[in-house]
Amino acid sequence: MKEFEKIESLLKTKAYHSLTADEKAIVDAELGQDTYEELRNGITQIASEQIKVRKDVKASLMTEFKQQERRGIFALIQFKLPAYTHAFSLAIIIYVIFFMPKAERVVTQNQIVEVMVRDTIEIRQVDTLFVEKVVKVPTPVFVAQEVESEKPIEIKQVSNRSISEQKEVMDLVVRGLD
Amino acid sequence: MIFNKHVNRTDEELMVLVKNRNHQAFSILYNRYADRLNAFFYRMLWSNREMSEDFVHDLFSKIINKPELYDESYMVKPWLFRIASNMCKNAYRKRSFEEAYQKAHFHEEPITQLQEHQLDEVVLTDQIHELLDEMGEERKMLFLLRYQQELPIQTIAEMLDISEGTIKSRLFYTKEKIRTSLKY
Repeated sequence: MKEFEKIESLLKTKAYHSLTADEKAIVDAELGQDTYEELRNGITQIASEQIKVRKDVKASLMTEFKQQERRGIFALIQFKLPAYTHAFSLAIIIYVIFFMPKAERVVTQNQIVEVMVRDTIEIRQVDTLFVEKVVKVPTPVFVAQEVESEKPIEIKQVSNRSISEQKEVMDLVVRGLD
Repeated sequence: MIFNKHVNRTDEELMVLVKNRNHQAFSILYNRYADRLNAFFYRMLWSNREMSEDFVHDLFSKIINKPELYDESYMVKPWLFRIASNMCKNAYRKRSFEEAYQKAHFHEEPITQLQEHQLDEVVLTDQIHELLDEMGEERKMLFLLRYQQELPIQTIAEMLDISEGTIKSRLFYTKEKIRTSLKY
């Protein structure tokens, strides 16, 4: 295969008539003058061959590429926006940046806040109330001891007063004792 | 003409940019290879100009739709020609199927549009054209990749997954073919 490489390099670079005597000997042994020239013609012709592609092929490919590019951008939201919506969204962005009222930031009195130049800050006075601590102490609950009562007092009618009248008198006596 | 900042980049760098959806990079890559691929397809596909342009379009369309198929460790030129040669193989397969179908159904060989086109081409036919047509698909492909696209034998071997020795012997066969054809 060494002859192959040698002949191949000759074919690409030299015409038959410009070969050296040694080179001619190799070529004659392998191919002969006619085949060499024929092959060389073919190779040089084919190597210089560039067949132009029509311009519209590229144009259609570029369109396809840009469509694909756009599809990539809107792949997340999955819908295509017509041209006027681009202008509309741009207008919204401009409004938000330049005309939107600045958001208020409420800061308490003792708070340290990093301030941006464009920010509007409203500081509100906050009073501190000192209130005595209320401690709730559980109130004791007195439970009356159960004492076995003595023999019930027998109420006998000793006077002319009725029993009910006598009971009232007794109640008055007991209250008076309290 | 708008100045393209990527014009001095290598094919491989351009292909990475194409993967990132850069249309300028795609445009440069197209300009570098469209005509060469067209010449390859033209010679491979029976000197059919329309067909070769369609194939160029299809190849670049594949790149647009699936740029992720490009492996960054691979050289772009052999990669492109590997795709091109696979497309040609499919075209040959399709054509042989069509021919078999016609033979089976019409019991004769009507002149197809393609053959008609070839007849027109005869007027313009040069010797290399005849030679290539006699070679058969595989040898024609090797011959074009080596002498038209000037790819190194080693690269062709890697591309087509055949040994360098086989490529050399097949190319050597081409010379024999010329020698025998010249005798007649």
